[in-house]
Amino acid sequence: MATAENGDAGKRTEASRRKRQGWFAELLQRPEIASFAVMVVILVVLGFLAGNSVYNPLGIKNNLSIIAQLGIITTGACLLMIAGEFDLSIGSMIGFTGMSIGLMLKWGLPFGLGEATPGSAFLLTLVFAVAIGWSIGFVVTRTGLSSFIVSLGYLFILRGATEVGFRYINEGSTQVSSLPDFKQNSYVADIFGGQFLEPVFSMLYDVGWNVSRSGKLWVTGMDNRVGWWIVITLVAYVILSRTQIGNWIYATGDNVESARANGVPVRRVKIGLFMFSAFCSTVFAACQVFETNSSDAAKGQLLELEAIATAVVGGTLMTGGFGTILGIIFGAVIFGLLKNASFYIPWIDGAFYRVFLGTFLLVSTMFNEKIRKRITGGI
Amino acid sequence: MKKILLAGITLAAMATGAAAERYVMVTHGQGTDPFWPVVEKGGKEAAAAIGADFEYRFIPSGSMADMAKLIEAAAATQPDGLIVSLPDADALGGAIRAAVDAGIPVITINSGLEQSKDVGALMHVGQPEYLAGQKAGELAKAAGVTHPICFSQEAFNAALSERCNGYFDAIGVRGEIIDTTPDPITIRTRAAAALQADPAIDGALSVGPHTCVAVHQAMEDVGVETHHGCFDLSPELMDLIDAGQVNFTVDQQQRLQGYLPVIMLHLYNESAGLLPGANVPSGPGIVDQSNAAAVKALAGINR
Repeated sequence: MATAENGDAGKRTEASRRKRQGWFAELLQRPEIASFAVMVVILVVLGFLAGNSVYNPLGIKNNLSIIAQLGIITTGACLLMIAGEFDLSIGSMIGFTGMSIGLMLKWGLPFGLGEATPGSAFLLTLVFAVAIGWSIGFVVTRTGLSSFIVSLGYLFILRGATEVGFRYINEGSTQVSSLPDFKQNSYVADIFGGQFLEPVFSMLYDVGWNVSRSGKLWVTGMDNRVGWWIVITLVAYVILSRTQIGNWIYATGDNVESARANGVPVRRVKIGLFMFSAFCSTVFAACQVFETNSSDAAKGQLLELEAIATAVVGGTLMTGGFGTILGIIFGAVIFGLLKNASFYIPWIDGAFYRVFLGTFLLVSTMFNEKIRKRITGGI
Repeated sequence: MKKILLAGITLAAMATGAAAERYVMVTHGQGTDPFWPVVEKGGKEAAAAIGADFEYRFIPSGSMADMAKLIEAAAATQPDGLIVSLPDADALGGAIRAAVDAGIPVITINSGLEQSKDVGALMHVGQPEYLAGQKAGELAKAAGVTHPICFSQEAFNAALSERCNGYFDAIGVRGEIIDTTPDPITIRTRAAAALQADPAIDGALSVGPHTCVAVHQAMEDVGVETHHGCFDLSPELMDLIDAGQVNFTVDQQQRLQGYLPVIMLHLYNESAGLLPGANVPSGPGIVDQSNAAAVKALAGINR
C-alpha cells in the first residue's frame, strides 16, 4: 500500500492521511491554514499601506478592542454553529442587556430590591439573559423548528422589549446617560469597562515607544474586553478540544440522530450553548456600558450577522460539525481589521468598507471550502 | 341581551370620544433614536395643556411605504388634526393630500419645508437639517476652519448626511463623511484612523451626541485639537462644552416641533382658521460655553 501511494504523487488514499510528514507539511494540513494565510496577507498589506497608524500603540489598542468585541460574540455563535444551530438574536440581546444594566443603575433594581450596584445590576441582567437563552434553546429543541426562525423571532422580541423598556421606565428617552463613573469605586465595573496591562504600557513608554505627540504617556492600557476575550477563548478551547462536552458539541452538529443514538444529551447541549451565547452577549454589553457609563436602545444592531460572518471566515461550516477556536481567532482578526482598514488608508474612501468586507467574506469562504475538502477527502 | 350591551358600550365609547379633541402625530423616527422622544413629549405636553388626546405613531422599519399606510390609517380615524414629518414628499404626498381632502388639517414638521405647501399642509414647523448644518458650518468658518470632516453614526440616514452637506457647503470645502456606526469603540477607532490619515484636518462635525463624545475621546487619543461642533444634546456633551473641549452643539429644539403644531391646530379648529402667517423655524439653537451649564439638566429629556 505504502509503495503504491508513494508512486502516485497526485493520488491520495485513505492511508496517506496516516503517513507521518515533516512538521511543516503537517501544519499545512490543518483546517485553519486558509484563514491564517488570509490573516497574514492582510496584516502585511495593511502594514504597507498604513503601517504607521495601524501598528502604533493607539492603533493596536483600538483594533484589538474591536477584534476582542467581535471575538467574544463569535465564540458563542461559532459553538452554536458547530452544533448545527444559529443564533440571530445576539445583537438584540446586546441591546437588551445593555438597556437592562443601564436602567437598573439609573432607576434601581426591579422587584423592589433597592439600589443597584454594578455587581448586582450585572448579575441580575445575566440571570435574565441566560434565562432568555435557555428559552430559545427550549423552544428550538422542543418544537423542532429551525433555530434560524426561532432566534429571528427573539431578535424582534428583544429589540422591541428594549425600546419599550426605555419608553416606559426611562421617561421616554432612549438613552441612559450621566451615570456616575462606577469604575472608580467598583471592582466589577472596572473588570468590564476598565483597562489592564497598564504596567506594560508604562514600561513601553519608558523605553521610548509609547510616546504621544506632546511627549507624555500615550496609551495607558489595554481594554479589559481583550482580557475577557482571551479568557472566553481559552475556556472554549479547553471545552471543545479536551472535554467530553466538546465531543458532544461536534457530534450534535455532525449528525444529530447518530449522536442521540450514541447517548449524547443533544437537547441539553443545544440549550447550554444558547445560554452560553447569551452570556457572551451580556459580557459584550457590560463592557460597553461600564466603559462609557451610558446605554441606549440602538446598540448591537446587525452584530449577529458579523458574528456569523467571522465564524465562517474562520473556517466554521454553516451546516455544522466543523470549526475550531483558532479559526475564530484568525477570523476575528481578519474581520476586525478589515472593518476599519479602509479608514486608515488615506486614499480609499471609508465608505468602501462594506465592499471590502463582503469581498473578503466570499474569498475566505471559498478558500476555506477548498482546504476543508482536501483535508476531509472531498466530502 | 348581548346586542343591548354591545350597543350601550358603543354609544358610551362614541360619546366619550366625541367630547375631547384628538391630534395624531406620525413621524419617521424609528424608535431607537434619542431625537424623537423629545418631539413626542412636546406633543403630549401641549395636548395635556389644552385638554386634548394625543397619539404618536412611528414606523420601526423606516420604510416610506409603511409610513404612507400609517398616515392613511391615522386619517381614517378622523382626528381633529394631523401632524406629519415629511422626509419624502413623493412617497407620502398622496396620503397627506387624501387626509387634507377629507377635511383634516395637516401641519408638517421637521423635514420637508419646501414641499409642505405642495402636499396641502397648512404650514411647516421645523427646519431642514441642511440649514442647521449650514449654521454649524458658518460658526466653523468664522473660527478659521478650512479642512473639514464629518462623522455620522448612520450611513443611510439622509437627514444626518444633510447636516454634513450643509456644514461642508458653508465652509466651502467638500470633506469626507465618515460612517462611524453607533458602536462607541468603532467610533473611536475610525475617528482616530481618519484624523491620523489626514493631519490637515482642522474642523470636525459629529452629527449625534454619543458620536460627539466618542470622537472627542479619539481626538484626545491622537493628540489633536480640532474645532469640534456637534448636534443634539446629552449630559456628557454639556460637560464637554462647559469645559471648553467641544466648541458648540446645534440644538434642533425638537420639543418645539412637537409642542407648537398641537397648539396651532387647536387654535385653527377653535377660532375659524387662526393660523400664523408663515412657517415657523424651530431652530437651530446653538448651545455653547455660555449656556451649556443651564441646559444640562434638560438634555435628552426636554431639549
